[in-house]
Amino acid sequence: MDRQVAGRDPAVADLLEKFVCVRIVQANGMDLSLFQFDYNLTWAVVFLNADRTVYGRYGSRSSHDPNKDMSIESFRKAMEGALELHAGYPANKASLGGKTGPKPRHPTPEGYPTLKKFYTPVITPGKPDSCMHCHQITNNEFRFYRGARQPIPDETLFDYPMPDTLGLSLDRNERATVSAVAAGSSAEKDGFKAGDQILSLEGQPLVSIADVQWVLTQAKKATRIKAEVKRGVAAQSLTLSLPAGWRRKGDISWRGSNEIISPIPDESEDLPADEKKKLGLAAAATAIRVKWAGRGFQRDDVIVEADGKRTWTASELLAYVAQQRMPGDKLSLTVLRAGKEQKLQLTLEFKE
Amino acid sequence: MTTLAALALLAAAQDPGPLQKSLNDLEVRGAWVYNDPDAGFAEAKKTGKPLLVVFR
Repeated sequence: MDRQVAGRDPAVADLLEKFVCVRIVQANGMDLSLFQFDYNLTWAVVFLNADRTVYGRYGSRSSHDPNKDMSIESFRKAMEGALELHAGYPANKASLGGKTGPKPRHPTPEGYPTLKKFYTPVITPGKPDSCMHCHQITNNEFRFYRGARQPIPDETLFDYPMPDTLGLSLDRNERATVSAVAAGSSAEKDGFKAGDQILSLEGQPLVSIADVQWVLTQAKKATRIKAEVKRGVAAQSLTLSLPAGWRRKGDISWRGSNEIISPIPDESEDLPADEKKKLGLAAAATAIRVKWAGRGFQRDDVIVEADGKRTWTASELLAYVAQQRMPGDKLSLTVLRAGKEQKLQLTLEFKE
Repeated sequence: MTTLAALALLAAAQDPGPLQKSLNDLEVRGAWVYNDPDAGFAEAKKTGKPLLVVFR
């Protein structure tokens, strides 16, 4: 995506001409009141008016595959959506108010003590180490809680939830069109159907899946949100229910910020069912393949047990460590290494 | 931000500057305001266009 957009691929070049295009390559000095998006993404876009009103966002990710939830087709449609909102501005301004979030903990990343220690608001050309990455902002939200020995709240740990957590799968090639509704899900009970185009949530017009995630991530205490959908030619008003614990159905195992929480090497992931079967493990059994050696792990170790439980997913284990275990605590693991079980005991660190 | 300065930034985007070179971010084509959101807002105000801000 980045190469296509930066290089003005013919699929989007004509629409790029209708925008002032800005390319940001650092998080140093970033205005966190204005530029709010999923900082764990490797590529994200914010559409705005010159008066700093946000029209929408683009960029979604739900797994270790960074491209699974994005496409140049849906990016083009998001651009078209932003241009439509710009053409309707300022008459539509009231509907856009919710697209800017509440005041952040710090106005810029340098407000976090660790980032202030290592970075300046301006990057130094020729010194790539002076470049702050966006995910370091989330890292330092996590550090805030870990340093205070507090559980990381669901709203922070599971931020920017995908609508799949509610049973709504959206088409990666469209703005916000339902491709499937999970049987028995809250979304099915709420009346959503495949093919529905979600036009707005909580009154906010949507240009992308990222805009859906924005509304969901901001729904801190809500139990339901209003949806306007287009079904065929008719518009319908629906309610999207947010059942207790709904965020926890998301997969956070791909997130780079996990390095602050967990001693398990980055990019470790659940084995697919067929590989579990080859190892003689049940479909619901814990089987997390370790990607990198270090901290007592060897590459390709498979974690099969943690603190006496053998049914964790990678995401569940991360959430357990983030919310129920604190720096200094021990974590007992069993790994499969060359076909044999081996015990590991790790001490959770506070990573500055 | 003056018009001249904004134009200089746009031109700079086509002729990679030290930052762009040091990051090996050399596949950028056409008019991009490089790593300067304030210059982007000034340009948007002047032209009446919306902004598309990429974070990579």
